Amino acid sequence: MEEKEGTKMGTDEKKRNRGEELKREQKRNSNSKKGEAKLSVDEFFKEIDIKKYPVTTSTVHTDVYSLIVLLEFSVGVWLLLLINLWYIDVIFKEHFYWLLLLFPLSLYGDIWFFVFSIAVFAMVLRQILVIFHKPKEGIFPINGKEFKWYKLRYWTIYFPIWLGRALPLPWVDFIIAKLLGSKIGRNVCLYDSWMDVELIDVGHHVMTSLNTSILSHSIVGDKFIQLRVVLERDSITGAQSVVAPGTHLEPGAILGANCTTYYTQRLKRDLIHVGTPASMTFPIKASPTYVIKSKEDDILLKQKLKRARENKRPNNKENKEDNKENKEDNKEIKEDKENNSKDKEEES
Amino acid sequence: MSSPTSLKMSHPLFIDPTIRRRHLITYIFHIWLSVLPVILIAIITFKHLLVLPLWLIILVSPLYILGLYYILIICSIIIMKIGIMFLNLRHKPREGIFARDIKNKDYKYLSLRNYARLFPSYLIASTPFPWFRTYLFYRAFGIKMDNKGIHWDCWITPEMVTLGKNVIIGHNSLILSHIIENDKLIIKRVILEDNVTIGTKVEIMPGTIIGKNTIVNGGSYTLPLQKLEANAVYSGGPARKVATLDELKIKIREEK
Repeated sequence: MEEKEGTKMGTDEKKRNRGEELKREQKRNSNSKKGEAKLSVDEFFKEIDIKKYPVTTSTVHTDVYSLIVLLEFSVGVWLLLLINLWYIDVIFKEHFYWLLLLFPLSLYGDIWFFVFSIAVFAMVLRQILVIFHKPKEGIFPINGKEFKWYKLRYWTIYFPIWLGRALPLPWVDFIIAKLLGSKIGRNVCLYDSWMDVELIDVGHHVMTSLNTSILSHSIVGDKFIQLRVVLERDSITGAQSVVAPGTHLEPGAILGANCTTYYTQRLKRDLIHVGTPASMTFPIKASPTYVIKSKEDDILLKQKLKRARENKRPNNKENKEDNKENKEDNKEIKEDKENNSKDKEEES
Repeated sequence: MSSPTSLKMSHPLFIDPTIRRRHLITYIFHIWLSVLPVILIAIITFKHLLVLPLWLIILVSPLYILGLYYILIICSIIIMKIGIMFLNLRHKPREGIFARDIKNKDYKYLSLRNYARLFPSYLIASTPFPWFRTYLFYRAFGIKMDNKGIHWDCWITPEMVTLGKNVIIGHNSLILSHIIENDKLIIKRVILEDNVTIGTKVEIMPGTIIGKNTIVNGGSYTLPLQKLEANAVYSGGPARKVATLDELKIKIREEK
């Protein structure tokens, strides 16, 4: 792998990540031997065009499992009543009427107590479920075991997350998501966007813009797909975008607004990705120190640097002339691309 | 899983601002009438609850609160139904393209109907409880649909929509049967046939007809009056046919 100066920190982190991934894969293999036979992801997508495979939802029918919501709700109400009964007893039996002054404060505290008691209860329930059956990655039939366990986990998670998102403060849903088992780094924004809680790794300084939805599960026809989504540090997902299960955003990668990704896509580092599904890439103009791997992007960046050196910021009139030259340059780029493609053909 | 974010910011039910001002009192009256029976029932039953031992009161209380909540929803829907019945006697809803003006009858009565639906539809959008949803809410609003589909966490406009059997609609997606373009109002029926699945964040415009078993990819939208073929996969904005189901080897889930 080619790496330039100034990205040594990045390489170190990558090595660590690779080590973690290897460990995870070993674990997965050990798990898969015990469980049912599943389709491997590469085999499944070999014959099919991945870019055309649709991304649907992670929502589930209301079954008997949905009664877990009632259990969680009732646990919250019971705990709330137990605390408030003590409070009311103290006021009315011992005639401490000045305690009524604290009533609004207690009402405010009740809301937080209700939410976090339910979140902790759900966390305990989920942990017990995970002990019996760990969530695996892969493609499963919808009548199988994996989907049943997913349904159970879905309904345990459902109510606390709803509560966290209904509250106006922005950091509540983070705390609840962390309690329920997602790995989220420091300084992460989640502006009213939907993120599946399970099988998601989020690095530091990640921004998910307004109304994005990041899915790690989807149900297509009679198949249930469950793949890990990784957002590494400094990556951004644009507004209204959809991140499909199995996508990997390398550090600094950007997904454009209103764009989608396909299954198991890798968005390259420090590039803007655009399209449904994301296929075009643009370099970030801010500074030329970014590392770009594909040949076409390399040529583009080198020519831009050349122009920057030669021109040295001329006047406006000269600029117009420069624009004409730029167009000619663009033609050269196209020719270069064609040459590259011809070379590849010859090699093959 | 939670309430769709699009509903958090603004409601897709369109109401004209002048009508919003003129009929504000009736809206408040609607809320007052639907809360009143709940309070009456609570006062009457609370005396009987206090006779029970304390541990039983605490045990029953969550179900008691849930029951009152559902009674509130039923009351608001009954009042909405009566209101819309009287409005429909004066002027029936119909399809077509109309001018965006209060003098236009279709425009005026559409916003009046939406005003009547505002409170119960707010209750729908903010329920954490998934039970009885199709029976109570969408069917009561007048959408023809099957009970076995998945359609929470999304917005379906409560008129001029027909859904087939086993329709799955992803969270955060919108199904609109009326929109406003500059100075025109477009109303047209949306039809989703059997086994249609729609991904996350899909916007379906008035007049679209989706054939059997088709899948619409997440993040795409359809044009008004667009017809989508059966047994195909659509994606992009506006939605284009990408492949057939046989090419991608997708089998539709069997109904139980």
